[in-house]
Amino acid sequence: MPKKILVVDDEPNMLRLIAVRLKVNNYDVITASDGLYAVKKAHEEKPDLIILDIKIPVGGGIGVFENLRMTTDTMLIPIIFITAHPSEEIRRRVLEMGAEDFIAKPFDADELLAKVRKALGEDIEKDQAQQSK
Amino acid sequence: MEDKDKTKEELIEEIKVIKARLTNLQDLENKYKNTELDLKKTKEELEIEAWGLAKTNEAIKYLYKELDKKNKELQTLDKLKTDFINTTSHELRTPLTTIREAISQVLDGIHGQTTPEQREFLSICLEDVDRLKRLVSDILDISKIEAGRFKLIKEQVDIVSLAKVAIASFYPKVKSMGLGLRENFCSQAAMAYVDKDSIIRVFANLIGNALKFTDKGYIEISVVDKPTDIECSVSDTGRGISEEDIPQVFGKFQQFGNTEMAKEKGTGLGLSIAKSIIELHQGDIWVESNLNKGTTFTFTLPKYTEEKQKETDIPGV
Repeated sequence: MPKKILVVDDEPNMLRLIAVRLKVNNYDVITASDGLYAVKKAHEEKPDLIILDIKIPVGGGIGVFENLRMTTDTMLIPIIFITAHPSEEIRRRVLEMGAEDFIAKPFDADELLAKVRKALGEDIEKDQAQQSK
Repeated sequence: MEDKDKTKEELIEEIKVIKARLTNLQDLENKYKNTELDLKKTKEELEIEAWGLAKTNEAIKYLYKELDKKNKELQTLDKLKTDFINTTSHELRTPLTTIREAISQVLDGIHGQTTPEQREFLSICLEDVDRLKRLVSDILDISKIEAGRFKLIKEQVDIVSLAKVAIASFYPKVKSMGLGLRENFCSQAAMAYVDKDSIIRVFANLIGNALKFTDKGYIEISVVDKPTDIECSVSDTGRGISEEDIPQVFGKFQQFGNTEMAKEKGTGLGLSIAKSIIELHQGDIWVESNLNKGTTFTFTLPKYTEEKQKETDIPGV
């Protein structure tokens, strides 16, 4: 069964491009462009992974993250943050807070897909298969 | 009864004495009046001085306030600079990401079949988007360096290991170009206190440049243990740099000759950044070259000692 990914970004172009790329790689995609809708969708759809831009209206990415961590049905969903900010403090803070991973703009498709696979544990299966050879 | 018989002479004497005393008293009175005048004068002078001092004091207080104001302005400007760098970074990187991804998707056939000619022209777009990405990155790095905000995370590291990382990433390219790759590393560890990523970047920049200007022969990377420094160099047997170009080599936006490698056109900022990185580590970097024979870039890094670690741990640098 294909894994479900919720993508949250306030730039419609970015949202569309990421959604297309993920769909082509056989993931189901739900989209949201603000914090309120993102939290709503996360509860409704229970995605396997959330890709979240730090800069979005209504709470910001961090606000959404904190909110989801407070409810049992969403607190275990892995979250990958997207940001253009290279600052070390934000990176550290975000990872300390328990985000799964971090991707910096500009990124290319391969990088995104690799991080998605890793967050979904798909890499591990591949590695184990290779190791047993 | 005897008192009435005071002689005329005695009386005259007494009058003289009284007169003399009177004169004395008058003298004293004059002296007193003069002293009083002097004191008055002195008091006035002191009052004027006191007034002068009070004015000076006011002026100093005013200057302190101005200094404080200027200081706060400078701090605001400094913060604006950092905010500008961060905002510009975000504003430039976001559209670059969407442009690149959109072109990538069409090229990957996700949105329908494409003709070879269409793919060719889309690839041209992609190459220049990547070039723009590198340029934005380099410009932001230079802004940070010049604002004194290029952060180095230093640790004790064997420089040879960093050279190896850089070499590994170029190995396929070197082989595909049919060039030789030589390594000349000292036998013991070449320890220095450096920011790993920055030094790898310097090696990568020098090796990348060497590859751009060499079509036959070899590239040689060496790391040598000297008494107080670690000396690293990247040599090539390429086309070399002319004497008149050598002084500008580390300048910004300098590119020499035609780089036929259209695939990875440089930003012209790599050497300037490399030089800044080495200088931030208290090292030196220089170039020697002979036209048509080859070029050698050499840089030094101070060897690791505990004093060096304490010395160079400057906050924010």
